[in-house]
Amino acid sequence: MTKTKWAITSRSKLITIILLVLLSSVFPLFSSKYIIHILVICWLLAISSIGWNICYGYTGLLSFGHTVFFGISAYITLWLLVPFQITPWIGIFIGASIACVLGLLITFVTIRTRGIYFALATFALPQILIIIFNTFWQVTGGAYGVIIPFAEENAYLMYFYDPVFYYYIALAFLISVLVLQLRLSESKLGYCLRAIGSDEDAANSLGIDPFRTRLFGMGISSFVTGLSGGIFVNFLKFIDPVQAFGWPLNIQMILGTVVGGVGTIFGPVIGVLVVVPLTEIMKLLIEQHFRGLNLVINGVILMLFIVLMPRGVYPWLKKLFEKYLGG
Amino acid sequence: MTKKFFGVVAVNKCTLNVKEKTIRGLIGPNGAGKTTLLNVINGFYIPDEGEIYFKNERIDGLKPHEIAKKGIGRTFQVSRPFRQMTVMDNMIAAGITHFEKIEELKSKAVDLLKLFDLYRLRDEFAGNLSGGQKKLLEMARVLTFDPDLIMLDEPFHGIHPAFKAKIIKAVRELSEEGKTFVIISHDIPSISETCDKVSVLCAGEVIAEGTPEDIRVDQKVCEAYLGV
Amino acid sequence: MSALVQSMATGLLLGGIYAVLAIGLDIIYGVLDLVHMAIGEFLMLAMYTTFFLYTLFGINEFILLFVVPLIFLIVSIPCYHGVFKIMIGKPHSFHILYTASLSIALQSAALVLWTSIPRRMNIPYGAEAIRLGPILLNKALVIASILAVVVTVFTFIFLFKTDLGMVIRAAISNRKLISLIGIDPHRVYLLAFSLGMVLIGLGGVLLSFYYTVSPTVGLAYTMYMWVAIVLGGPGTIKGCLLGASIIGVSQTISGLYLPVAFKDVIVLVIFVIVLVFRPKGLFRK
Repeated sequence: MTKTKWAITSRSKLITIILLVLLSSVFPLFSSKYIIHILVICWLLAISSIGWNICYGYTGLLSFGHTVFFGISAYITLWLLVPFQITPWIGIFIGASIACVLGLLITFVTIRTRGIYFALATFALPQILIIIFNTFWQVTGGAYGVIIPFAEENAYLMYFYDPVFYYYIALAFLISVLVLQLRLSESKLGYCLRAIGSDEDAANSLGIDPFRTRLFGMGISSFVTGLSGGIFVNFLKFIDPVQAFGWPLNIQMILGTVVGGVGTIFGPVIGVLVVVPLTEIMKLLIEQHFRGLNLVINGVILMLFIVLMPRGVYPWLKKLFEKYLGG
Repeated sequence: MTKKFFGVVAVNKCTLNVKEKTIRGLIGPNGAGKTTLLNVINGFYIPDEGEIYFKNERIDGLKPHEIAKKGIGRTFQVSRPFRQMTVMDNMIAAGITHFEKIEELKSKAVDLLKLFDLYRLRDEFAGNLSGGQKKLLEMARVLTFDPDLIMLDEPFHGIHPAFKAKIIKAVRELSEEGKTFVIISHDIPSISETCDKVSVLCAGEVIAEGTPEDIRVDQKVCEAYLGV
Repeated sequence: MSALVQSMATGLLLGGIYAVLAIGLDIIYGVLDLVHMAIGEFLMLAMYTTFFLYTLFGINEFILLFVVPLIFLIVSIPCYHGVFKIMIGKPHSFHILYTASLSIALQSAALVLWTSIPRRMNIPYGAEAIRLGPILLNKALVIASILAVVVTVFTFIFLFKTDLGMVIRAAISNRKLISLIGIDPHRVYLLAFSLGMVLIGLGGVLLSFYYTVSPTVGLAYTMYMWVAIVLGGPGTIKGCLLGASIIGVSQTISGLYLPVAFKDVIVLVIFVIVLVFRPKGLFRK
């Protein structure tokens, strides 16, 4: 009995990406500034989520500290920009590279930690950084944060008033990162990462070097997350330690992937497109009447998602498609 | 090839020489140290004393993935497939560090899957396979990179006789093609059927060595198993 | 010099209270294999309960030592069945994400209900000090700490000298074995969970002798408790005591030399360092 499955091949994924690009490119023409603003946040969060996904969904390391990559890159990009006028078009990559170095360092140090110990250890890192940044406020701008103080628009310095520009910039980066992920999943490194994530010892006995694989995985993961941090700071023109390293960002990054689909390519994007609008809608509907209740409901909804769709929305959609379009 | 090995605690000054292209059985009561021995050879543990030689090259102290590259493969007592990956991906992942051209790897994987009658399951997630299928996958997987020495840890354990027969057949065929096997098992009949020579391990030491018939009547072995 | 000794002493007193919390978490983790990341929020709720009962109803703080844990005991049953039972058997990553979401929900709820104003039980002797030779120790802290030791001893007796306690210890050693002996594992889980909650309740009362509570304190305590367990090695009371003491002492000593905010950093840095060199904790199980 042959089963015509709607095979999600690499080519069809590429086609999907192209379709998405076309769709999202025209979208801003019909939307308000507010929605565009939300979508920029979505794209940036999606990039971070993809970075996190490479760490967890592929390499199997549950990291609660990915915000350190986001935040460090954001601050570095900012510090290059404001006193030294180094254009963010380069600065973002420098910031992401430094985040990458940090990621490699962390990998070196945590090589023998696994599972929940790794999660707990990485959980500590952002907290440490927040406190350090708050304490040395003369250097870092402290809890009040740093603003980009330019007066007029400047494309060279990536300073725009209209969010539309950032929309396309973020989208371009997102597409690149998606393509990168696609190439990664088919590559030697991709297989090694997933093998290590599944069963490190078994992979080891088959010839896969866990240490080198982890290094590469974390390096890419932290670089990608760092990219989004760099863009973010230019978009909001402001950063402070809590926003850069804090728990809210951390949880949104993770939930983007968890809700969307761990270990998949489109999962994080879908997840983010679910989580962010949901949060916004909650905020709009509820916050005026009962301040703060929206966050409570958020938490509960997230719990429900984790229970009901543990593998995420994307695999669930895939199953649905296969049922109706396949054999 | 010769393998000499001394180790302490779990494996106590144990010496094992396995000739190339033979099938060696390794039996012994529970806790005798058989799996530990395998783990040391495989690189997961470092021997406290002694050396390990493979093809006249010293390999103790190397990491497991380096040892795999030298041509030693092993399976695990409880099968450890890459559960979230498909059967085909499991095969590819196993060989990916050993092949230059992915086409060669893919065709080899297909051949192996067909040999073990797993080809029809190639797009199934490894975690969804039955126990016996997982064991077969484990064996197919370790053969992907064509190791010269293959160590099987309890390959017959808890599976249907039909699968057992498949494994025995595969071992015999591969041995004829020049591979060396070391098989740990409690399944004495299967061991007797498959192996050229059997070593008996008890409390970390080799207490007897010989053909399956020799071992069956060896008094020391009976004592070890029955405590008589 | 005496400042250092005083800090250490204060740290040890604190450690004693933290130990009660750590043991509670350890039991939950050891028996149910449950990575509970919202435990700080439950502690926060215990502290708020203590505060309100004390302030609004004037219930004596020592009586609260019985009332609050009792409330927690009663609440733990629907809590287990409704919210926590679902985690059993699922992978750790599930636990972490699930309880992390729970912690956000609880934290936000507390913020809505009680605002972010810190609350403190105004114990009459809360500002008094006891002099022990050259060092000064806060009276409320000393009393709370002594009570904590009493609680720990009682817990110890329960775990090692009673049948129920033995079941729990057996479950920590080997969960699968329990069903083989003919005991329904789910009842053991419920028992362990309730016990853990009771200890958290107790710990909440004791902490309230000395510390303030606000909706956001949960996160820090969750961290402390997990660090205590990991430092000491999960599964032993000895380990919890050691881990808790390390946390208490490092907090107070760091307060001597470093800015106040750094007290958390030191704990975390120690944590990361220990994890790097001893990935399984200082005491193995």
